[in-house]
Amino acid sequence: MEYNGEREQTECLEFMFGQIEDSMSSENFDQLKEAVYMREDTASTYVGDGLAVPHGRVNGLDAEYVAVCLCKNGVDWPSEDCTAKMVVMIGVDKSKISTYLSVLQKIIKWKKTSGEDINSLSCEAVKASFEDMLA
Amino acid sequence: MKNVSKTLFFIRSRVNLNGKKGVYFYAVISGIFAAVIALGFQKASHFILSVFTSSDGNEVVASFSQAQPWQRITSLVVGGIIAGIILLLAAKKVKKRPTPYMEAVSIGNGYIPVRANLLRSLAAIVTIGSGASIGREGPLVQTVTVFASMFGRRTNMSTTRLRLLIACSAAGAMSAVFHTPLAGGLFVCEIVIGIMSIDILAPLLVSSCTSYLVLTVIGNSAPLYENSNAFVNVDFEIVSFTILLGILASLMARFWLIMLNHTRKLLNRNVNFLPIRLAIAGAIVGTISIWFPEVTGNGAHIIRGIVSMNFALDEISAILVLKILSVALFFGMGAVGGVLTPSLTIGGVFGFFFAHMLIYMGVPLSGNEIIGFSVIGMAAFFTTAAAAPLTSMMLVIEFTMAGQLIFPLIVAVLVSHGVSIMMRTKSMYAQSAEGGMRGAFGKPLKSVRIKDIFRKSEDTVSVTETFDGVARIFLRNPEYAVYVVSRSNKYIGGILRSDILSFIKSKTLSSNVIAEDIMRSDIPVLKTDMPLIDGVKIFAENPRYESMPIVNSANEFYGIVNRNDIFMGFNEILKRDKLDRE
Repeated sequence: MEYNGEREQTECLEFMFGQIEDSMSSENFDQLKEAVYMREDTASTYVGDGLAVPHGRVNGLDAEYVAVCLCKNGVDWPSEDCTAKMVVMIGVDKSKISTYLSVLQKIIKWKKTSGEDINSLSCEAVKASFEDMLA
Repeated sequence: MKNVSKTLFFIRSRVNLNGKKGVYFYAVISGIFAAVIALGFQKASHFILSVFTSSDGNEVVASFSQAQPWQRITSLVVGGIIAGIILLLAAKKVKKRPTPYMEAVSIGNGYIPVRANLLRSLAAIVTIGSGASIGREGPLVQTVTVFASMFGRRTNMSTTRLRLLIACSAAGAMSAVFHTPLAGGLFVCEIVIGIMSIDILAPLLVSSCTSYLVLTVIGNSAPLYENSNAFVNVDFEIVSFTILLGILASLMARFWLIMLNHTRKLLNRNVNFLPIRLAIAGAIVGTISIWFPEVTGNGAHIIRGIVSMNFALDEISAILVLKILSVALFFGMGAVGGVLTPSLTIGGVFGFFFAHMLIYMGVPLSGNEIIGFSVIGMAAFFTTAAAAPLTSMMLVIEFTMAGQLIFPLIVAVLVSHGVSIMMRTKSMYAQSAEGGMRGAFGKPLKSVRIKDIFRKSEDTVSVTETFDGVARIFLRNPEYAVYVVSRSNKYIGGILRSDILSFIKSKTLSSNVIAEDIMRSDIPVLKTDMPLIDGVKIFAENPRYESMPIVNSANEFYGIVNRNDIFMGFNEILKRDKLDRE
């Protein structure tokens, strides 16, 4: 997905939540939303190089959810010092810690090794890369 | 240390040192180190004694006897001031508390802070070297275990293995100090661990025997108070007297323990006055030593005098009173030193008095029988003082090599132990060894709570701790979970090694993941006041958890209980409980 709205972190997150809302049960969705916001309150999920990985661990999530959003205008995550141009939201079951770490590791490695400028990436190319990476 | 680590790594890559047999390898290593460090400690205190008294420094009382009166006082006063300053420095400058080795084994995770303990060891060397009336075994064993703890942590030993290594090194050190390979192992097994199991005793004995062997090669391992002629005639009358001696020695030991506690409470208050306090103790004992040099040192000279019949009754009466006062004074003033040998000395002198009392009552006793009663008195006294009947028996047998004393020794020691149990006498090691399982063994099963068998854990982190920080804890202590607590020490969750094992060295995740991301909140939590049996059930129902956190009623993190401890403790308490009921 592509986000062209304000540089506000909350707006970007709400946009992403809006996109994934229908893909899971409303109970799981509410829990994930709460978990993601709580995690951001604890510490920023900006990992550097224009990449932010907000995430939440939720009880009873049936599968792993990864949503990728390109933000060509940049989003303050949460301040100007950390401008996220790609936001990858991860939702995993609370007990699947290894799965979460594995997904996160793959995403960060992919970003580091691809070396491509986020502005030059298309949604289709990113989707293909992620499908390939997480397969 | 680097070479040692490299060699160990080489051996570990070829032999499974983490297996059951690996324990024996480490036991041998700890025995070798224990003997070498113990010898170094002794040489250092001898050197200081030689400087203070202008003598060869090999024996405290002999050195004091030949020193000038002013030297006797100066030695103890200056030694007290220096030791006091070192202790003051340790208390003020070093943040970490000098964990006693008994605590590290019984309730700790095997971590013994290096700096604080080595400073205390240094203070002990100066105190002992200056001729103070205090034992050297306590600080010496502590010094050896500091190195064992450091070695174990550098080689990334698991907590269980590290604790056993410390226990082995303590056994090795005891063996090196007293030249008692069997009693060295028994001491740690009986007093520190509290369980007599061959699985635990065997590595301890391997360590103590190795240490003894090394001492034979590089030093002197002859029995300390050898007199194999000591005996007591076994007949009904003498056995009755032995029983009486057991009772009286136990009562005397109880009085001794009360006195030690009271002097410590009364005199050892403000740490700032430590140098002055120790100097005062030194001045008093130094002055007494002008007339009675026997009051200096740990009392070994007096025991030697008794077993070789060098003392007359009137002479030893004065020495006993002054010795008790001197030891209590130094101990009370806060000197770092042991009370094991002083306790043996007092017990020995008490037995000596008892034998003379029998003679006075018309019981004909030979010189060797007087020695026999003295040795029995020593064992009976120490049984109550240390709550260790087996160790007491073996100590005096190995000290004297008088095997024919075994029957009266058993009688006196058992009687003394029985009296101490009836009178609920708390041993001199109670404070250090009571926490953890050791302290729970004496209670009936129904009254044992989870907090009775807890272990301290320093492996806690905040929710924002980086993955790298958590991984480092697991690399250092790979056995248990890492627990997440709030700033106010409220328990939040736990991190399991199995969850992060394959990522533990990942640089990608090191700063991008925090403790909250990998924390579980479904780990069963035990309450401090929960009955032990409920804890056992929870562990049995949750086989994947090797340890569980304990919280108090305010949900504050209290410590951990690990699977081995809870089942071993439960088994041991159940056995004793069953015996009591029968």
